[in-house]
Amino acid sequence: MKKLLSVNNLQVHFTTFAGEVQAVRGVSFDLAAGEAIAVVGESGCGKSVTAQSIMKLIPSPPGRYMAGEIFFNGENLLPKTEKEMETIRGKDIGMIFQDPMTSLNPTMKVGHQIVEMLKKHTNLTGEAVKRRAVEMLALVGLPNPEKRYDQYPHQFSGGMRQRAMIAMALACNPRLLIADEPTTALDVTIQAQILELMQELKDKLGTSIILITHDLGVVAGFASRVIVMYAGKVVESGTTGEIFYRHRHPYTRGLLASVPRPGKEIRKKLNPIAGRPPGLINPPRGCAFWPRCDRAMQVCREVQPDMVQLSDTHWVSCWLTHEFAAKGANVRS
Amino acid sequence: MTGKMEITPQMFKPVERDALAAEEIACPSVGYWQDVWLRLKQNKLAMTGLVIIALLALLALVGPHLSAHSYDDQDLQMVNQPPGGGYWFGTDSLGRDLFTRVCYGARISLAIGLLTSVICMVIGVLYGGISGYLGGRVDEIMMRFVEVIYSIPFLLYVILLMVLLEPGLKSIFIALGIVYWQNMARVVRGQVLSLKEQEYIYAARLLGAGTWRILLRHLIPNTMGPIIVSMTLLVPEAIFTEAFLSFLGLGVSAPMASWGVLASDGIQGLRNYPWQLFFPALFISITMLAFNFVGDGLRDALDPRLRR
Amino acid sequence: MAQYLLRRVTTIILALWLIITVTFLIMHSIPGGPFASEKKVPDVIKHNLEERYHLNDPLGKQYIDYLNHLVHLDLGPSFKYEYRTVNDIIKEGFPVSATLGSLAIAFSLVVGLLAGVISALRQNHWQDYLAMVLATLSFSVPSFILSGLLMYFFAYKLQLLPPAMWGTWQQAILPTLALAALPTAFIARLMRSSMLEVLQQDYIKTARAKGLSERVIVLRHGVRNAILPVVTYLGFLVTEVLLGSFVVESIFAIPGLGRWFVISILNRDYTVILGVTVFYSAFLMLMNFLVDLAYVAVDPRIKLVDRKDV
Repeated sequence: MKKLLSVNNLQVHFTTFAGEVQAVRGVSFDLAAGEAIAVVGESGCGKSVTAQSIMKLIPSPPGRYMAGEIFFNGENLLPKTEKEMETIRGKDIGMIFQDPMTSLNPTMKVGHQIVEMLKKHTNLTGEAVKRRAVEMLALVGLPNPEKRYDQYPHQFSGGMRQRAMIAMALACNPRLLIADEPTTALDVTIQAQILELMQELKDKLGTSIILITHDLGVVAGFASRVIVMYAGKVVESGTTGEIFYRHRHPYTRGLLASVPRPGKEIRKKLNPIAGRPPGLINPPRGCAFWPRCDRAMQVCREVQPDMVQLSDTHWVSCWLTHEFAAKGANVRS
Repeated sequence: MTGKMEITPQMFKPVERDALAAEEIACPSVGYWQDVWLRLKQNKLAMTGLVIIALLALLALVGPHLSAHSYDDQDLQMVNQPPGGGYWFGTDSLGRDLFTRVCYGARISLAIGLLTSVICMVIGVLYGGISGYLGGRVDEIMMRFVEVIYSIPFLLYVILLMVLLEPGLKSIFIALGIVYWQNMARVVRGQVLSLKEQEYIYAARLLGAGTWRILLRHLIPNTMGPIIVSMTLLVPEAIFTEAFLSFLGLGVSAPMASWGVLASDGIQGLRNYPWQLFFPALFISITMLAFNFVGDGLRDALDPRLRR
Repeated sequence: MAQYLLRRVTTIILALWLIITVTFLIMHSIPGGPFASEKKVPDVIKHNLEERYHLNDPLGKQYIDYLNHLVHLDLGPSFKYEYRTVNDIIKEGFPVSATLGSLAIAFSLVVGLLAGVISALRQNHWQDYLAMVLATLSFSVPSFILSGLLMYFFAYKLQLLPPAMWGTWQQAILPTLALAALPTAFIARLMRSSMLEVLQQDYIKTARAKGLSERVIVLRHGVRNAILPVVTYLGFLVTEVLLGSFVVESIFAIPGLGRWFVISILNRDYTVILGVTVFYSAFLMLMNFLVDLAYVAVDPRIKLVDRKDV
């Protein structure tokens, strides 16, 4: 498959009063056309910053792109100017955010919020724009789209607003949709509906999707590949199957253990990962996860582990995969 | 990075952990007001304001004794003298020493500001506290009353009242109290409403504390923060309004003089004796700035959203 | 919506009635008040008063009569000038005051909003500091002192502008500035903080993600939302300008209603004070009501107060 997006060694820093926060510390991954991947990790691990960097939405100051490349459609986005980015945002890349209650403009009719974007990116005019917007509202499953077009966001429920956001993000037929925690703020039943809708539209429109989430539970049926991030770095990536059943990183294991799953394990207790991610003003010298890792070794404190390839698709960054780890042995399994 | 250090098998031993090391060391606890004070101290504008207020208070206390002239000594030989010589700020149209009068004005203006603020605090705490604490219908009616009053251009009625009352300090306090108590009542009510649902009030109630006791011992002390901010910001407002009333001829009566009275007298001779306006104006403005800085600083220091 | 408006209208009518009743009682019941019978006033005026207020009638009847006159927009005769009524004075002075007031309001809105938006967009740059220092200074000078200072420097020292009177546009500049300074400062600060808050909102990020240009984001999504608190302030703005007009008109010798009001206060022309006060209150409440309506128009969420269709 052809590569649509390729992120290489992305580094993003934020200047704060407390110091320089290294939010993203060399993230690389790529995405094929028509593919859906998930980026998972706890809050503060840099996944949102990575997502917003792809559209260059990081405000500067305080944010700065320190290094890296983001190739979209064969073009590096990072050196592009704001004016050039405006022609890509919304048109080639759409984005939806976590909280549908606050991500729509409260003083503007929902229809107009879609129309203003269509007017910017397409040649449609007058009635045609409106027809397209209504069509999108219908596509995302809003009943009465004509009426909804003329309503304000406060007249929508949370799930409906997220549907409207999706309609807006997909209105210009973008090649890539970035969904930043699209279901986190919603009720569980609505979550499933929204995911189902995204899946359906992906198949219908052929849009690639990057799903950002902290909840591995929503990933399973949705993404073909999963990227696990911790403290601004990718720690493991692989197909959904590899991540769920053949994961090698203790952090991935921890994330999975903290997801409630029905089935035979139903009696098992949930296991949250103890502790909190490290501050990124002074990131740890070695592996950032070692203070919370129950299998930490001395080497983990000192040296950053390299990315190791385990299969065509499976990569992990953990000293436990090192040949010495097996010998140094006492690994509790 | 990784290439620099040699990787040896010895490094693959598990880390020994001190069971306690993972636990966070608790921050030394800092009392609420101590915390507020620490943050206020970092605010340069607010601290400057505090210093200025202290200096003004000092001036009001000892200023009149520094000058050889008394505030109501008229010297018709020395009418409208420019600053200099025996008169640091010059003299007014009756030959009174402006410096002494400005120091005296400080007493009156500061007293007006502070006392008004205290009066409003008392009324506001009583009204707002009762309204918020009792809640329900009483609250609705009491707040509706405030709403009605709030929609009235109140200063107009104060003017009307002042026209009819004998001019003087007492009328000014009544007038300013009437104008400014409602805001305080609203602030207090909001605080009480948010606090009264909290557990320690239930606890107090379970222990058998009566309504008044809960109001005085528990609610009011915990609502102090925003009240102090409102009080601080009320001082310059009261001084401002008093100056306005003075201009309308409704201020304190001669020979006493607030800064407002001095300034509005100064306006009369503006063309030829501008210092008669400048000095009182300067003091009014400095006082406004100082209190506003302190009030804003306090508000920032008390704002829990800024607490880290 | 209907309930919302009804609530506002009842509040206004209640407040007006309260005002009228209280002023009536104050005027009649305070010893030494204007209607105390042993006052020494010229015969013609005594005659006017007697004819107008029927001071010998029982208080209840006087009150009803008084309300009746007010309903017919008749505010009665002057206490000091034999052949003038309060209505004459208002007719003469109010247009001038309204002109000056409108100028000041327009100035404070245009300059205040601009300054606020620019400060927010250039937060912590020199433009921001400059605007906020100016605003803070305007806050700390009472309007009569500012009027005096402006007059002293621009009219007497620099002789750039006329110091007083009304009629030419040059004569309008200083009073407009003096009157507008405080509200301008207030609007600038309000708009700045409101704009800063709005720019943090998620929907601004959404707008950016849609590829809209910075100009469209700031104006259509930013300013449009940030202006809401300023609209609520408009009622206070009118009050502020009206009270300020007393001072500014007096100092610049502008023949408006504000100056007349101050003269009436100094003369203790009770009936004029009373009449103008009632007129001003009704006017201000009307203005506040209009502001409420404007608020309903600019914030779509308000409409839903009593309609539940989601």
